[in-house]
Amino acid sequence: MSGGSFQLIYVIGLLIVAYLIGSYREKRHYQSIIKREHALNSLPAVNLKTAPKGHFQHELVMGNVTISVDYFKRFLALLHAFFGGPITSYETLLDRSRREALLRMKEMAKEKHAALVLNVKYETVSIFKGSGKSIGSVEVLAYGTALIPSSQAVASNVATTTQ
Amino acid sequence: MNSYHNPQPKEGINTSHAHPLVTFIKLFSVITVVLVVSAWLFGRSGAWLASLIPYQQEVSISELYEKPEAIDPDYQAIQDYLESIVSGLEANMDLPEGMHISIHYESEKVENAYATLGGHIFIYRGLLEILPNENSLAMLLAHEMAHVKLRHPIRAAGQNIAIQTGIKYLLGYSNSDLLGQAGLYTQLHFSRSMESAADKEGLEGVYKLYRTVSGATELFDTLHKISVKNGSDDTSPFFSTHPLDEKRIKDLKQVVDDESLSSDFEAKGLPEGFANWL
Repeated sequence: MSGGSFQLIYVIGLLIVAYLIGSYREKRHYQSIIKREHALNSLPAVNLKTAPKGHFQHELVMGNVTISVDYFKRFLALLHAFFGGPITSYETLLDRSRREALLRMKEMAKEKHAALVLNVKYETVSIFKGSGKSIGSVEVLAYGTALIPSSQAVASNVATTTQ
Repeated sequence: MNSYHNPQPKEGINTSHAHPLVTFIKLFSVITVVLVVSAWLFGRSGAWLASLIPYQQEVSISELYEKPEAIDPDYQAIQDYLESIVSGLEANMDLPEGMHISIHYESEKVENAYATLGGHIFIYRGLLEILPNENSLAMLLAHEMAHVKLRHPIRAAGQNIAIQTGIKYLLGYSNSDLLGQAGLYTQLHFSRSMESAADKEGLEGVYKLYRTVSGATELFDTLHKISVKNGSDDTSPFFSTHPLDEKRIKDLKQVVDDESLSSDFEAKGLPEGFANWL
């Protein structure tokens, strides 16, 4: 078998394996995201900057995630780059990253018994460039100001001190 | 806090509904067609532009790169013999003025011979060992000389450079070292039509020199039989660059019939001690 044929089979094999494993992991991740979103819907996170009336303690909360795209999607993105237009293969990567980061931020706020998270913002950055400078992994940080009712804040501080 | 809500987002708003495999097949098919058509256009344009380069300029370009090694005194006899045949063919092939052929013998067990830029022809021991007579050897050399006469090496090099450069620019890569990549002293691949044209031109040259096609037409029969015998295991470089299908042999025999080339005289044998010269 010539070197060219071997390389072609190797690339096709990698694409198939990457597609199957990548699709399975993505499906599992979405299932987890939807389940946790339902559980945390009672804790609103909004981008308003003004706090409602009442006595609250304010704390910074954040959720951070780094997710890598699979070989198949990276290859597909290269094809998209040739013709232009939306890079659909990266859409799920960013969608999952933002939702996961927000969930982690909410989980942190919930631990602090927060009633609301205000001024929510995202920071997105690609932290690894693959071959051909194509995006390999993205890091998404979601952060905001948690509003913790004063009575809960006291309880939370007591719990933290006694740990 | 009742005025703040985070409703569950509807799935599929921020992601495309297209199945990734369908997208992949569509994009891959279109890009393959674009690249194949572009490569064909680049290749044709490159070959045409390269054919406009004067031969003396081609020689100057080839001299900028690595030159063939000096002749080993142990192989002076075979070198002289090859040069004598080339000289006879040069006089009978109507080469353009200023075109000179340089023959180079390579003592390696490789069944190969090829013509490259600047009028250089390389022939290997492995191929010489299987040739039955001088006419077959002359036909082999005449075939390679015909490539030079018809400017096939510069056309093939131009085609290669144009395809490599064009595709790289199309895909967003660039490299200014165009000639460095082309490998001027390496084997160039000629198209099937180039091979057929070189067969015809070579056969006419051999006929003018020996007044017979005996041995010349046998060359391709002999090589074809070896190729068929070796089957798919055949990895000979000569066969990979000189496809010996039956159509090509038939075309060559058609040239013999059309031009009424005689085979009355027998092929001239190889000189005594030929095997010891290799």
